[in-house]
Amino acid sequence: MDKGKFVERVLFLLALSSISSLVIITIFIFEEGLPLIMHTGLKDFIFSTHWAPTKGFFGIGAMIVSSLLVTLGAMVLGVPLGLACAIVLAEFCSERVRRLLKPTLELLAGIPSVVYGFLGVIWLVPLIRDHLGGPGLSLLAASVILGIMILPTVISISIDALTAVPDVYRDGSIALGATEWQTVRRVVLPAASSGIITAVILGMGRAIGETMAVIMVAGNAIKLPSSVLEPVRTLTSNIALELGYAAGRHREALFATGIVLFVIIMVLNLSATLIARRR
Amino acid sequence: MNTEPNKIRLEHLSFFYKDFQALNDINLEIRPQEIFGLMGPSKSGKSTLLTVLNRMCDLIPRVRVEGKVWLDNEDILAPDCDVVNLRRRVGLVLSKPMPLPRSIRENLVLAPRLAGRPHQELEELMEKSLQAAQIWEEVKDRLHDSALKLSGGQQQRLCLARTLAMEPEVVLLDEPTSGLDPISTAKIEQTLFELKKNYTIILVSNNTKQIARATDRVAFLLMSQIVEIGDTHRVFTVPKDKRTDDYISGRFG
Amino acid sequence: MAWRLHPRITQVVAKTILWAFTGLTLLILVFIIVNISVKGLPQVTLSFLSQDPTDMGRHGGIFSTIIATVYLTLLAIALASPLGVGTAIYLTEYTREGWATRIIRFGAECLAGVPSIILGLFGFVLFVMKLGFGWSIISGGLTLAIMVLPIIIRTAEEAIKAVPQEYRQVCYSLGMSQWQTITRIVLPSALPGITTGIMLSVGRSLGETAVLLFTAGAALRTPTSLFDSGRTMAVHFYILAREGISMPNAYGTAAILMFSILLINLVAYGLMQRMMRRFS
Repeated sequence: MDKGKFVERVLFLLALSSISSLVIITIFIFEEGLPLIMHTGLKDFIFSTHWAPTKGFFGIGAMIVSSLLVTLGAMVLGVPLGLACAIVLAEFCSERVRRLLKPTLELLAGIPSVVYGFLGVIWLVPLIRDHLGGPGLSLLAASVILGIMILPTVISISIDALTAVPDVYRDGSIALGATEWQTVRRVVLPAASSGIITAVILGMGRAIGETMAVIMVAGNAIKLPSSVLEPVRTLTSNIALELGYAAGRHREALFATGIVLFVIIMVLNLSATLIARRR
Repeated sequence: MNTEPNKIRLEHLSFFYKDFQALNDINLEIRPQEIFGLMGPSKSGKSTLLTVLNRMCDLIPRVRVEGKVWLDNEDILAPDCDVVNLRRRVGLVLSKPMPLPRSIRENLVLAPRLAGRPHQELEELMEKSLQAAQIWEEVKDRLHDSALKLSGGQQQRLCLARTLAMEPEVVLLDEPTSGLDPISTAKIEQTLFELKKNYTIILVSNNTKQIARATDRVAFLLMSQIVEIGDTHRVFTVPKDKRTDDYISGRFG
Repeated sequence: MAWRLHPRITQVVAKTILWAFTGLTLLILVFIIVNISVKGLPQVTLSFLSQDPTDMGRHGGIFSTIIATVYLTLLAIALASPLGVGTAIYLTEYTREGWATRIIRFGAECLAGVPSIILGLFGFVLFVMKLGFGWSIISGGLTLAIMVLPIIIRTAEEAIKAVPQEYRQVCYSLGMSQWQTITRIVLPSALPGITTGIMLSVGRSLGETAVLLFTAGAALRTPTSLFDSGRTMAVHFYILAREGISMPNAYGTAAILMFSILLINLVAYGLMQRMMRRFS
């Protein structure tokens, strides 16, 4: 009897590991970054586009905008592709084809982000430079690469949402004389909408948090882009590029960048969780 | 010292799932070495009654039990009752045969070994239990095969043997022959008859013919209450209650 | 006008577009794999695998980076597995749904969403700076462990939940205690699924770069203690490619990295499928 209680206590402590890691991470990131935000002022830090850490200017406005633009671009590319794959896999193909395609597409998730970035530099960047102009390392290149990288997230969560729709909905619609496509569009997709929205939000989180691939293809110039062909620097790249040599206020500013990123991601995750729970 | 003539005695037992009352003021005595039948239509509370007798009901969330259940002289619903030990004394065979994903041998000896039976006794215990459940001849040459390979009837007898291997004092059987063919059913019933010498057996079934064939005494449950208790022969020949008569003559249920 | 078209025609058009998109996605995948294979596999020789890199990785092989990768991954898995499996057991076997499970699940979900660069920042400030471990295997391993913890929790929970409830009933009805039931029947039955989670975590660790750059560092020497810095294959590949040190060696490293991850993920996927089929 006592042994059972003891085991339960130990397991409870183990179970607290994930939430306590999260709390500790939050504390440390905020502890390191908040002083700088206090010092610079939240408004200047977020809205100013002047980033010259050695001279004491800490404005990450341009990077916030770049991060959002790159993410938006990734969604424009990744969501239609991913959703199409999910619909085909969940609705329009035979069991045998599905059993082959699903694990194949899941392979995409296993390819490391540095490999995506590398192939972006080798293939995509020259393609953009030669055919569309600009330096090639650009907002567009980063969007395309991220669009591909979020596919596994979008596909697998959307498939779950689609397969969760009960078959009676489909049968009812088909029985009324609707075509398969009409059934998917008018019945299945609306019924799965909250799951698909969750997929999109989690895809956004994945895109905005990605670092290595973006560093390699985005060009990393600190300014507000005026076209998709210009180089940009995202929040994540800013941290990764400068953490190696930063010290003092400069390092604090990188942690402060981390806070902004962290808050964005947490808001996205929370809304995904809330939407998923509402189902 | 043992002043209690009954093996099990239920006093004013009531059982609630959330707001549904599954058992309503049950009073019942079960004697040693008898086969006691519980019959009634489905949802009448028979299976619930079994789950109370070895506290398997603890596993279901949000239930409430009132009243007392005495096993010999011990109140098994008392908070300080050692549930693990109780389940060793009161074995339950579930309605669906469910061998563990192990070898036939391991299905038999796992629980006794964990209960602390010495290793040298296990072989003998296994053979004795398998023989008691009338399956020894069929499996003695393949004890290391997976138990999942056995047929449905064999699996059910294996599960009975597995319960017997714990050497319980009481054996609870929940629809042990549902889904079995007549030959397997006959074998199980034969087994029960042999087991009566050493065990107290409670058999739940909604097959009235089986109850009539296999039990000594019977209680008829209807809508969470006991309608009639008595010697099986008497209940089936001269039922006192009209509802019992209707049930055993197949007018409902 | 699209809505005036016959529904059959609309259906043909829609299906064509959807299949075309699916085809495009598959094509991208095939392109990546073929490209890395064609350029990378010829570089992979026994000496490439068994020699240390020389001249910043311009010459020689990748042996020391393989060793660093193995150390970091092993450490991360050794730390995260007991935590993750313990959490999963607690969530599935010891509690009913309530505030405690909600907080624990929320923690795991959020942790899964934390970007690796944030984990890198955290590992850098806590393990590298505050605790004074420096850029080292232990700093990297601890941070990686936090990164893979949610993966292990999620898969282990799924696996344990897939074990039929009846097995537990049988065990309890035979007078086995809860802990005996878990260790003798539930965990062994869920083992393929738990292994899947651990393998997926290995795959994730192999490909990780951002976390390790700031916690384990990039020293090319073979690490000999927990407090040595070590450069993993992924970090090595990133540095080779980004600084243009050696494209052939970069491709070779990428090929090994990618194929080991794909192989691990495939096996993991197969294990989980087989287990789920057995219990359904």
